[in-house]
This record gives sequence, C-alpha cells and structure tokens, in this order.
Amino acid sequence: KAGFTMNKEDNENYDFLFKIILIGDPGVGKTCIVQRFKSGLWLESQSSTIGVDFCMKSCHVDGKIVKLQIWDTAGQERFRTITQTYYRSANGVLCAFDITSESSFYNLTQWMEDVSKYCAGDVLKLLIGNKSDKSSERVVDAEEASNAASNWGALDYVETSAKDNSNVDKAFTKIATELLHKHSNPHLAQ
Amino acid sequence: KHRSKRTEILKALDQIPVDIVQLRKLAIAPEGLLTSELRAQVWPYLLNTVNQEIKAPENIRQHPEFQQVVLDVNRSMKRFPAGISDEEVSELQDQLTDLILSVLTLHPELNYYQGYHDICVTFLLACGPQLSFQLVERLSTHHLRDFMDPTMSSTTHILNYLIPILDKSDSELVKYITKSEVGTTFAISWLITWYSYVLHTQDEIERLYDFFLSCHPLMPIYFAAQIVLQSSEDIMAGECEMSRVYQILTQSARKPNPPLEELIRKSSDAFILFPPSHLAREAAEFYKNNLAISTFCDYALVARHETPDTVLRRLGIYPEDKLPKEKEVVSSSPKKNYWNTARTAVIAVSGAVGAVVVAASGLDWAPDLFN
Repeated sequence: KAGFTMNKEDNENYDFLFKIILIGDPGVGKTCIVQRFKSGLWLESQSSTIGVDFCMKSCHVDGKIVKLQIWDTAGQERFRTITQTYYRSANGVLCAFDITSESSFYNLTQWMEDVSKYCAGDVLKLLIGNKSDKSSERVVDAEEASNAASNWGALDYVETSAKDNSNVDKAFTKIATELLHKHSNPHLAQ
Repeated sequence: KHRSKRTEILKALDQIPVDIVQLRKLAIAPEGLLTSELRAQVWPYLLNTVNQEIKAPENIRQHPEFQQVVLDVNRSMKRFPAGISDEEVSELQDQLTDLILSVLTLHPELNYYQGYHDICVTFLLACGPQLSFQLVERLSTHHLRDFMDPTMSSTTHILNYLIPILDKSDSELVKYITKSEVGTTFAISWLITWYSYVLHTQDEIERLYDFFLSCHPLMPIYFAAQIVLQSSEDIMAGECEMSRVYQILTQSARKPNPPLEELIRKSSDAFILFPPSHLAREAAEFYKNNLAISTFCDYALVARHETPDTVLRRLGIYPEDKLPKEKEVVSSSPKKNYWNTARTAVIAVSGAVGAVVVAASGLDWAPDLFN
C-alpha cells in the first residue's frame, strides 16, 4: 500500500501530499497536460519526454491545500522497465490516450495491466482522453472510453484538451479530491 | 587566443598523416573545436570515418519505427535555430527523419530510443545531412551502441557507474543520496541524449560533443557525476526525501550557462583518477549486477597499459617520492577497434587537462580486474 504524507515540515504549507503518475502512449499529450496544469501554458513544440520528469503543484480542495507530486513518464515501450519503479509509491494514476489515435486507445490494455502489476492495490485511477479540440479527427468513441474506464475500476473518464485548456484542472482536481476523501476518512483509508 | 587555437586546429588537420592525437587534445581543451565549420572537418577524424563512404540504404520509410521517429522529429523544433522559416523547419525535419531511419535500416540490430533523435539533431545542425549520416552511423555502432540494445538493461548498467564515481569524490553525498532512495533515473536523459535534452544552446551541446567524441564512451557518466557534485550543497541542505532530491538533480543540469569548461576538466580528472576498470567491480558489487558490457572489459585491458600512474609519470606531475614501481605489462589482444579509440582517448585526456589533481596520495592504482 502506497503511503501518503500529511503536513510535513516544509517551507510550503500544505495539508496533504499525494504522488501521481502520468502514463500512456508516446505523443498523446502527457507533458502538455502537466504543463497546462502546472503553469497554465501550452507549448506547440513540447519535446518528447526522456525518462521521467517531475513537477509539483498545489491545489485547494474542500478548504485544504493538497500538494500533488506529478511524475511525467516517457511513453516509449522500452522506458517501461524504468518508469515502473515509480508506480509502487504512487497514490494516483492518470492514464492518458489520444482520442484521435486508435492505437493509443487499444494500448491502454497494456498500461492498465502494468498498473495492476506494479501499483499499490488501492491506487486511485483516472482515464484521460486528450486532444478533445480535434473533434473532427476523433476515432475513439466517448462512451466506449467511459466503459473502458469503469471496467478498469477508474474513478472516471475525463476528456481533456491541453491546447484549449479544457477539463485539465478538472482531471487533477478530481483525483486530488478523491485522494483527500479517501485519506481524511479513517474508515475508507483502509 | 581564439585565432591561435584555430591555427593549431588547422595545423593538425594539415599534417600528413593528420595528427589525430593533437586533434583530440584540442577538442578536449578549453572551448573545444570553436565553430561548427571546424567541427565538420575534425569530427570525422575523431570518429575515424574519413575514408568511409557508406551508402544510405533505400526504402527507409518502411522501417517499423517510422511512426515513432516521426513523432519525435515533429517535436524537436525547440532545437532548431530560432527564426527559421516554416519551409526550413520542414526541410530539417525531413532530413532528420531520413538520417535516423537510414542508420536504423542499415543496422537492424540497433533499436531506436526516444532521445536518439536529440543526438541526431546536433549532428544535422553542425554538419549537414550527408556528413551526419557517416558520423551518426559510426557513433551508433560505438559510443551509443549500448543504449540501442533491445532493452535498456545495458543503459541501466552504465548508470550504475554514477554512484561509485561520486563516492570517490564525496562519500557523504553518496550516503545522503542512497538514503533518499532517489536512484539514478534522473540521469538517464542526460546520458542517452549526451545532454542535448538539458542544455539550452546548440553551441554548448556542440562543445560538449567535442569532448565526448574525443573520449571513452563512458565519459558522459563521469560528466553526470560532476553535475551532481556541483549541486551537493543544495541536495544536502534540505529534507532527505526522494522527490526533493530528484527535483534538485533534474534541475541542476538545466541551469542556464553551465560551467561547461570546469565540468569537462573535472570529468577528465575523475576519469584519469578513477578509470572505468577501477570502478567496474564496485559498480557491479554496489548493484549486485554482472559485468555484462564487453566494451568495459576492452577498456579494462587498455587501462592496464595506460594506468594513471603511467600517464602521470610521463607528464612529470607525479610527486617524486610517491612514484609507484613500474608494473610489468602483459600484452594481450583486445578488440582492435576499441583498443585504439580508448587508448588515444586516455592520452588525449591526460594531455589536454594538464592539471590532474594528485592530492589523494593514498589511492590504489592497481587495476583490480585482471590481477
């Protein structure tokens, strides 16, 4: 079971700290999603992530300050053995695909398998379909994705656009809220 | 000063045969090879591709990694010169895609990795498409070979060298880093892109490549150690916690205007003082891994011939009273290719650095692998 940290001695004030790992096929927009959430920016020419990048961002949930540690991973298959070490301590997983890429959707099976293999059993999961701005190029049906999310036992399926800044905050707030509820309620924290 | 160095480089190029040892020294010494124009002339000698004329293969766009390559190439605009036109961008992207796929098609045993494209950009911008193909082809089958295995286990193994190198310089830091459980993943992008992922300018990247192309393939990991050492104070100043340490480390390589010359000088020193053969056993023991990379053993054989004390003695900077006794060298037959490259590299490093720190007198120089 992954641990979480409450009110550590740190320069910054926060009530809860959670670790989030962001996974999914190459080019689905993982880093763009993180950058949008972190700094509100969108970069046309975001470069490919090599290895694992890391950032932090605090958000307010139910009057509490929740700090999220986000581990942004490279999507290429060969990096999996390296990124898998970060699964173990994650409190939450954001698994992303690109609604305009069929293969990124089909490959979710592999990503989901990795999560069940390497993450803690009680990890919270959220499925993200990115690039919702490209609706004319959509090849993955929202309902199908939503079903995949519930079959996987995910909290929800959220369609985002890092480019248009649509639902990005919502996705992170969703997982932060659920993590907060889970860990502030001693009965559910089991 | 710039002009006199340029003259020296041109002079070495004019020798018959070309003075490759001198070129390596100049490439390592402060400011390296100065300009892209000179690099395009010297790099082929450093990689020994001068008389080679490999033909680019056909049907490269049918390569199974085509889509992955295009995906990464389309996202490498940040590396291109500022202010170039859309046409120029797409021309460069086409050239980059062709460069990568040509090497991959020619060598089916090489596996593409995200980050390889970053190295290829550096060559393309410095040397143009034709020459880059010759250079990258050679580099991929030598310096980058281990990164291009079917899996990343060799790459992980190389990362294992980081801790023993650090340990030689700052064992307190190593204790701290180990306790934080940060691992070595933070350095993977540095290593497999030769720092083109983290440095900010093409000039800086080319300068660093002058150094790496003149040295043993493991030099980039010695360089990583120097970056970590520079942040030692920051790392130890706060809570010993994994994500905090990870963040400091990843950011340490991204600081603008890094002291490249100092880092290069210190990496060279560390390489001479603690050559790979000395670290191999520690790296293996530290991680309880096997010695799996043949190039390391090749190098260890070289180190037997070129142990630091021989180098230091020749340079006349070994303290007279601490002069170790000459060891008898048993000749062996290491793989020819690596032997020559690595041997010149040691000579070049020691010649260019000039100021090897010999403060630690209690160091044990004996090559430990073959005794």
